[in-house]
Amino acid sequence: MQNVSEIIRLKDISFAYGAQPVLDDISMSIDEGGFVGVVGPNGSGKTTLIKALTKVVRPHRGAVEILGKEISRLSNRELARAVSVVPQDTGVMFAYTVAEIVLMGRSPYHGALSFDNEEDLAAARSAMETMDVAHLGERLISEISGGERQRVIIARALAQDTPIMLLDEPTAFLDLKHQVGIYGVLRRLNREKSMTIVVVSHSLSLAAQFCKRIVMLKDGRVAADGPVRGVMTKENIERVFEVGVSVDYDEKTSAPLIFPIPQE
Amino acid sequence: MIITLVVFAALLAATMTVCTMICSVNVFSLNTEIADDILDIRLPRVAIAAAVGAALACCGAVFQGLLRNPLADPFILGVSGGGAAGAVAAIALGIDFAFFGFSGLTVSAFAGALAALLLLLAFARGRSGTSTHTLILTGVVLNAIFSAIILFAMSMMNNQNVSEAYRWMMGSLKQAIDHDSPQIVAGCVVVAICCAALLAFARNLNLLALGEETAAQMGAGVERTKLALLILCALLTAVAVSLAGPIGFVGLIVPHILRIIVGPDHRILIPSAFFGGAIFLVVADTLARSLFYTELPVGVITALCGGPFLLWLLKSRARQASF
Repeated sequence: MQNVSEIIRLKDISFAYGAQPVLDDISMSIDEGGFVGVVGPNGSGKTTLIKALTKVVRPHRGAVEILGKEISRLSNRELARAVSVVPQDTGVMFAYTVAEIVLMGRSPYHGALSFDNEEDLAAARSAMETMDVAHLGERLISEISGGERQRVIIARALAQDTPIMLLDEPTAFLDLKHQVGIYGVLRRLNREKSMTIVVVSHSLSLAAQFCKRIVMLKDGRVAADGPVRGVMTKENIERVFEVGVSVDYDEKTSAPLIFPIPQE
Repeated sequence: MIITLVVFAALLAATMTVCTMICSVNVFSLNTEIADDILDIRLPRVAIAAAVGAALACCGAVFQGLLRNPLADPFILGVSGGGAAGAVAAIALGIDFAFFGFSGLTVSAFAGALAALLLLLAFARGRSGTSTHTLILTGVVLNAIFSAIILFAMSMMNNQNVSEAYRWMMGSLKQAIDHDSPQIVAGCVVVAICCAALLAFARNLNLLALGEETAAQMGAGVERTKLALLILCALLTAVAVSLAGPIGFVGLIVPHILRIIVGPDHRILIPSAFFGGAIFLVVADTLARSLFYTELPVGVITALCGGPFLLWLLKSRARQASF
């Protein structure tokens, strides 16, 4: 029985790089308006999971459905109108301006020869305002700071105007203030535009503070999946990350706060 | 943007007109004899220079976008060398047929250029873009291999063929007047069509600046784009090489300067490179044939401009962390 609000569905996904299994029989479904944090140790398959959702890697077994459609039947353009991605590697070749980069997000709505129209400019402008980078429009992407660049890349994904956004460690290399800022924006998008957000994160506490649901991966399998408080437990984290932690709870939000305990 | 292109087109027209006139004759005292000379010899030559320059500059712009490396150029990468090897092999084997204005030489040059491109892609590609060192080294190796093939073919030839083959090595437009006019027209038409076809992939080339995976996630058909661009570029290089031999550095200098003027957006960069490359080579060839009492191969001029330019680029790139 297909749930109407189900927007992403993974059915028994397996994938391997050569003989090394990376995703091992993963199944899950994500509802519209979900805000899912994907956590797990290095090599647990988080990034590959994001790639499997966008056809960048094709699962050897299983199927991925987005908006009820099998993605291998969608063209890149059709998929790019449903899912936007903020990648880990945000390097850009050549001296493009910030506005040009954000406007590239409009590509899935264009044929080969058409130029940007009023609608594109409006979408780009509003995305840049949401991400607070409108003042950087004419600056070169290579000239701005890491925090600004990450916001520009998210603005580009926003200009793509998709119901789903996937982010692969969007706060890596950012200082604390920018980390919190990025998650704050994601929460706003999730609440105000009911955008479905899946974010891969290395920061357990940030994911616990902002996400509604946590998926914990270990060795390409789902080790735990559910509401934040049920998943972010001392037992789960110690089992998956193989490090001692203490888990506290935020007084105001009652979200779990995770601290590693140095081992003697 | 349309204004920019109109300006470029006007500049090209003006350059071609002026350069057709220039040549140790007094343009103000045209008699019929010289007028014939202009039509028969210099106009075709200027037209070929324009077509070859446009082809090489567009190829350079596309290679740079495709390989995510601003130092890519058909000559440096060995693609022109592959085309020349194909052309010389055709001379050596006596392949001689005409196919809608394309000689066996052009077809063979196309095969050589395509082979070079495929080898290049097989060996020089990293996961995120292509490192400058690998790219240039692969180009050096390919050029060495193709030179060896050319030398091998030439040592097996009789004298007449050797002198014919030698002309392709020089990178000169002097032999251009030997071409039949259908061949010249066919070359110009192919260049115009291919460059126009490149435009269909300009948006995807922009997306490729963000990396292949991201480009795919933003809706680009990456594999299709790469395949189409490679075939178009191999064709353009082959036409350029069969008309004028391997002329270096046009594809490096022109897109670079134009990126500073019109920006990196390929939707405007490619048409600008078309006009800019044409202007550059027409001017370079005019200098080559009128600077000294004897005529220089135009490849000498472009290499003397382009070599130091490449060195300067390598030096300034070395200071940037991303390379």
